[in-house]
Amino acid sequence: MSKLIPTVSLIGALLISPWLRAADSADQWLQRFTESMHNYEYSGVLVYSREGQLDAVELSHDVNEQGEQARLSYLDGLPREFLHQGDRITRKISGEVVANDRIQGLNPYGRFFGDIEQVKRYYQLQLKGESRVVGRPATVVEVIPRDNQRLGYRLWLDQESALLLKSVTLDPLARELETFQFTSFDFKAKAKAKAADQLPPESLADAGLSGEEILPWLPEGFELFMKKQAVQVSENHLANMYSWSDGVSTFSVFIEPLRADSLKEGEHQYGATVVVVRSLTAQEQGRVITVVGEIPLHTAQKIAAAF
Amino acid sequence: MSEHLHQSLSNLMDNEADELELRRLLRACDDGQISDDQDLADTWHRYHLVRSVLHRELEQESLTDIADRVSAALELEPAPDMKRSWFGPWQQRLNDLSNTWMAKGMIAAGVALAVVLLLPNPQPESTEPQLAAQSVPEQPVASGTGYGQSSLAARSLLQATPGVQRVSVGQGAEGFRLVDHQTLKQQRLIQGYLIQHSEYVAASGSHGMLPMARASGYQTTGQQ
Repeated sequence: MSKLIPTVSLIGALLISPWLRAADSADQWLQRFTESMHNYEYSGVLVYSREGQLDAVELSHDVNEQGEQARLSYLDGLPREFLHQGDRITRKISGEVVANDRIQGLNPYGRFFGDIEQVKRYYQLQLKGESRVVGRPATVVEVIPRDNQRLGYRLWLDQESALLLKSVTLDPLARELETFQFTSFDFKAKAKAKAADQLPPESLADAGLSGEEILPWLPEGFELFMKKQAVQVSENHLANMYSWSDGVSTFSVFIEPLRADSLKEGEHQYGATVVVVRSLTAQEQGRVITVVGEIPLHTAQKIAAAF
Repeated sequence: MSEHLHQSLSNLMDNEADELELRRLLRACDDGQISDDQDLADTWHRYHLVRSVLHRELEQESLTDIADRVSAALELEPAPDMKRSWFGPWQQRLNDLSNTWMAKGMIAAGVALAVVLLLPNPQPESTEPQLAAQSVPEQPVASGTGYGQSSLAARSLLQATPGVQRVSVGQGAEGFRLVDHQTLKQQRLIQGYLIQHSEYVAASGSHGMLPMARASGYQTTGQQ
């Protein structure tokens, strides 16, 4: 009898928990956000701002049996388009295809904060009240890094759909680096998503590839999720590309032979994205290491300096 | 006047020009001429070209070669032979010339200060606004806003990276832009890395397709 009580209460809790979902912790909001990608198709105009620069992008997104479908059309400057269909990526400039590429490897944590427990090891999740974005009531969730090796994010999630309406990227001192925000937003609920959408993501880590073999120093919690040989970074530059993710933040390392027209050593910052270039001399095989990512500058410097 | 402008210009090159000098230079830019045959913007451009070559910032091997060869040739050059009297006056004149140039460079800051302190700043005759610095309603220089605005313009000019540069001199000239070819080339290359990175972040990150909006920003910086 005494054994039965915890069992019953456990079952009871399990039965009740779906009903409690609407009310909620930051974890649950992020979980809902993750699932919302599969339950809605959405479109709108997104503005991106950093350091006083503002760009507008038209965005539509859908997930179906063929995988993810997204279309971005840049409204400022040259008419450019970016299409993402399943694992294929296409870039167009003025209607002409300039690049066609396959995405290899997926985020080991799955998309959109797939594994909340993993995320919570390196970030603290907090509810920051309610707000209004694009004329819609939103819940504000803050993703705060637990160490200074990653950036933080403040997310505005639509209260009805849990879709992301606005996102601000914060540096370790909580200064705003960049903002994404929809200025018009439309979404449509889809027929109940199939289980196939929750495919376990293929991890490169399973294939015996570990980040430590490539990087002499790796910030804690980041796992290699993508490795690609001879990526074309410009008309005449090829580099091997490796990408790491901690489930929220991502950075890539490009390694290529040192050439006269390679990038010069230095550091650059574009909103939340840092670029650290380091050239290794002939004694060290004459290579150029380029670290690109949404990570603090000092972290990128440390990654590059460890080579 | 032209002398003073030259001094101001070389001060500006050394980041030592003050706001009054900058204003005078900008005004001279508008007038177009500092002497009969020399365009101020062209002089400014040449100064930068010379500095770029000397600092090996210009990525043209032939030019770097010239710089090397010139310095090598200079080392081999025998000391001027003073005994050849019929060349004496010429050499003297040449020396004088180089001395004044060096002197200009060395005491630039001092002279400039004196010039600024001693010469009354000529009041602007025309208020046709063509440059950012001059679109400020003309006011006595000492007034607060005038200073603030011009110092902003000064900062943007002074902080421009060294290299080959041309200064916009309004609609009168061909509308040069502050362009540093090498920086531009590097920027284009960096864009390639940024776009590759963004694609993968967008395809597997935590923000859905939002990160691809970043790529828009990278590309417009290159276009400007």
